[in-house]
Amino acid sequence: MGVAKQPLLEVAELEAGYGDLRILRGVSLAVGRGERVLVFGPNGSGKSTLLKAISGILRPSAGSVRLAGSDVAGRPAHRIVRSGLSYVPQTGNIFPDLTVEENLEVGAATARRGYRERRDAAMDLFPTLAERRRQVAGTLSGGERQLVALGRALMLDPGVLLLDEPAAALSAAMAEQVFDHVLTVNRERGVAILLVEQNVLKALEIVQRGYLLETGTVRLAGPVGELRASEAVRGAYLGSSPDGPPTTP
Amino acid sequence: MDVLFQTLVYGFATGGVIAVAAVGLTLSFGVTGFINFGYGELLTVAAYTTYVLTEAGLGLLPAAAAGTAITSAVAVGVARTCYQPLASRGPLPLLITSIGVAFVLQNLVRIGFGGEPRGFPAPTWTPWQLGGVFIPKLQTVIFLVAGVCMLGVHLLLRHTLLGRTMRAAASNEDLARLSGLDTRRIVLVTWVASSLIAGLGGVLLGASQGDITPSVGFEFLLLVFAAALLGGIGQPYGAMLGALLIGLGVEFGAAYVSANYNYALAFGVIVLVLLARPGGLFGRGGGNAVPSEGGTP
Ligand SMILES: Nc1ncnc2c1ncn2[C@@H]1O[C@H](COP(=O)(O)OP(=O)(O)O)[C@@H](O)[C@H]1O
Ligand SMILES: [Mg+2]
Repeated sequence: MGVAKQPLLEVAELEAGYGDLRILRGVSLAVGRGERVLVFGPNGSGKSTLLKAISGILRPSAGSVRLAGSDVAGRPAHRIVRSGLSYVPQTGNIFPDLTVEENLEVGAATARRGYRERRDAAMDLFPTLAERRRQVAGTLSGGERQLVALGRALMLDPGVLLLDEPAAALSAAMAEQVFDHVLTVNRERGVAILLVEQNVLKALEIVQRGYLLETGTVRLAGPVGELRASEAVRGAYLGSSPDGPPTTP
Repeated sequence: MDVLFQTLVYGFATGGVIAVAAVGLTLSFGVTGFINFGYGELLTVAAYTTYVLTEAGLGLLPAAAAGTAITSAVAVGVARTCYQPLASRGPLPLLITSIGVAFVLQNLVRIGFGGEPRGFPAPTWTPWQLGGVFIPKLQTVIFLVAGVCMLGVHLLLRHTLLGRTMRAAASNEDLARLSGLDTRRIVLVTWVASSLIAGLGGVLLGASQGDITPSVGFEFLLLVFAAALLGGIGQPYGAMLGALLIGLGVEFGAAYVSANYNYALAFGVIVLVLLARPGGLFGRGGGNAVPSEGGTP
């Protein structure tokens, strides 16, 4: 046991909301080093809110967020992301007025040393970034923007990457590519992934464990095999309910 | 021919002064997200402090430098006391507060110096004469100084990390925080840069107009808004081009029609741009250069 077994990211009893509106009602989850974990659930269940609260963009009202052992809950976002956690929001995840390379440079602005190496490594990982390095990011296609967003998020050398529906609004083929890229980041960099995704069928193919979030609480958690076997998941998310037609979440 | 050429030079000078002011305004708008109606008074404060310091015996250049620094200190003080406490309330309370700030500053100057015009200590240079054509030297220098300022802003924004982080914070503030940037610090730095530019703008404005009054900056602000709108508000490069067009328009209007129509021209431009291209001539079509969430220094 001991420190080595401690998860990289450990969220406990996290509560957060908007003004008087409580959204997260005590969410607990963990992501180990190099692990790939899915958070899924119906629209409005609080998945995006969860990622915002973990990253500090939204200040949690209770609970803890342990990053490599130390509680970062309540710290400002710019400090949290400097301690090894990167977050790619679903929307607004690039600097549209900046070039591709400037997006990467700003991503690394607080860690200048080794920037060039990290930039080159990101461009090796995603050659599109090199081809488009001087193009203004706002003029890129949806898929290319996701690569810029991923590249920027890698600039601080995170141990864990939070991704909010990176394939939403992309064509099936582009979505497939983005999932491949996420896998590449995980396998080649050892970066742990906490993925929020609506396409559960597809997402379960690339993660190891998952959490089902409903109305701000974890309804179900387990490894992929267990989730696939669960009635609740099959009925609502995998479209193979034994008792009736699939319901859209 | 002579009038045409001189008008051109005056137009470039006026355009240069507008450009300096518009770029400073645009810079702070980009990161704070509110339209600062108190910006014109920063020009006034700079012009008057420069005037006072030269009266006290300082040379024009040291007086202008000190005046610009004092202007920046005033701007930071105003931001700390008036704008920061309202930061979380969105752009509208800030905008209205800035109108109040404008009137307070303007009237403080009026209390101190009265409403009658004061002669700005601009150098009295004789024009250059080039083959029968007179080139106004002061106006040429004003345009060149404005050009150097624009170049400086360009180098800052495009070629320094600080400038890129400023643009990033203006482009997407939340993502800037998620990239590890302390956006409150960036907003403060931008505010200082913007007010230093306002200070220079005030000095150039005083020099180009010759006389200053307590409302000199406030009245000029209308031309600055017109330029910023024309260029697509929040976009420094658009503001530069918009400023040159407005400056030329003002001077040609004054030379060939009547100086009394300056503001009609500016208002006309504002209305036309808002009707036809809300994003500005050089802005992106829809004109959504405004950051979603406002911050203040
Ligand atoms: N900025 C906000 N202000 C107020 N309510 C919000 C805000 N963002 C999200 N919500 C509400 O919080 C709930 C959870 O939203 P969200 O976390 O985005 O859900 P999900 O990502 O699971 O679809 C929804 O009811 C949504 O309407
Ligand atoms: Mg969401």
